[in-house]
Amino acid sequence: MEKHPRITIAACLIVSAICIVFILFSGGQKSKSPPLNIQSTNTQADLYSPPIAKADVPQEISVVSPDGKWALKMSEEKGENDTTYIFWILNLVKSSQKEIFRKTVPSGSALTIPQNTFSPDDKYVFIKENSAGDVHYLVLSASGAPLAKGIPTMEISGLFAAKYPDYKITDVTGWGGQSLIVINTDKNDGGQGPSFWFDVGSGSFIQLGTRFN
Amino acid sequence: MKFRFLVALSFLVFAGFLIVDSSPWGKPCANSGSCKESLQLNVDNEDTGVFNGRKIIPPKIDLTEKVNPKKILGEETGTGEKHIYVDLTSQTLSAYQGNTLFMQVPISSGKWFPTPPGEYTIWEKIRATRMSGGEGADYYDLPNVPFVMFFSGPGVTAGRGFSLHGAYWHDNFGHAMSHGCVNMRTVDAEKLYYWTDPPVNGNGTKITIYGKAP
Repeated sequence: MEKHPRITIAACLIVSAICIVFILFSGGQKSKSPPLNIQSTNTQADLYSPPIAKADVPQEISVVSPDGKWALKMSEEKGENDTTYIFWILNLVKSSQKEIFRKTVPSGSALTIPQNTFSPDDKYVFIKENSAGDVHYLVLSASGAPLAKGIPTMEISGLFAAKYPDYKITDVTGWGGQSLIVINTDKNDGGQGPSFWFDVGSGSFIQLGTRFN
Repeated sequence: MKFRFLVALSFLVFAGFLIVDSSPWGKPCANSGSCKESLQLNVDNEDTGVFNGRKIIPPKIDLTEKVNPKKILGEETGTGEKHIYVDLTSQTLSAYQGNTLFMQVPISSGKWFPTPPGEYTIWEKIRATRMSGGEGADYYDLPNVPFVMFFSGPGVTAGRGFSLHGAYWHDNFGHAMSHGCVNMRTVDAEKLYYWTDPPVNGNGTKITIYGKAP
């Protein structure tokens, strides 16, 4: 075999090259983007578009639950100096609806339905209120019943500010579990804060070790 | 002798590399606790699940339920090849037939384990299965995961169990929330499930996953 050193080296190099090509082929996928020339059909994207507040135009917005069985609908009644927002729960299986909540806010304030409003079991919903630069999140029972005895609704921002004065809520993104609302925060003195669960069942906050961006 | 030994050794190393790369235990499965079991139809209507330390009652799966034939045959959305794009950066899924957009919906990609970017095809569709994995506070055990579309391609072998599927245990779509799979709202997963082509010899609708999860 001593007379074939070049063949030996060449064989080893070929095998190594095959391995390298295979590794590159496995890990180096190209990024493709969707077609740019889009002819949109009837998509579900409309259902998830964040509501856009247009002045003086009566609106009706609804968001469907992830299982497609329920929808939360919001309608507006505009007054001279205020607006009343009315929330309805729609049973999409039985084609029925029921008013579950209404709130009147002064001009300049607005209520919206977030995309991930329904808890995974459809038991709760949360809505967002923008009021003179402040954002509040309100949790309701989807049945219209009180959340607990003497507690018709829960307002997360106020409870959080009282319990964690060093942090401020930057976003409430959805539900991390059956009764767990995902909250992201910043530190009041600057920098990113941790994420929290808000457990609707117990009305308590749970600080998380991981952040849900 | 030395030459033959070296060549044989090189090929053994290469073969070993191929075997390890294509096996479920070579690289982590999408669901580490149910690596092989997740790949099969599995309905547990009497069982409960666990996610984020909470007990979960899964939705019941009725395999005899009547499905609109239009769904089974797939909705006509135009001409051309069907292609699914998953944008990890914006956490959205877009499905096209040719240049026609069929649906665009929010998803949740991997948080505890990254969803791998790449070019894939759906190799199997199953109505429901059980998925489990994670450890400690991240442990999960989820029966009746609905409308599962397994995908594979370069770097992601079928045995690793990556898939698009419905998720009934959270509603935080638009944000990373999975253990590597692409979570969809059940209503969206159902629509996509019946739209995608049936895999033939392991080759179904194409999927491109790109971008980077926030």
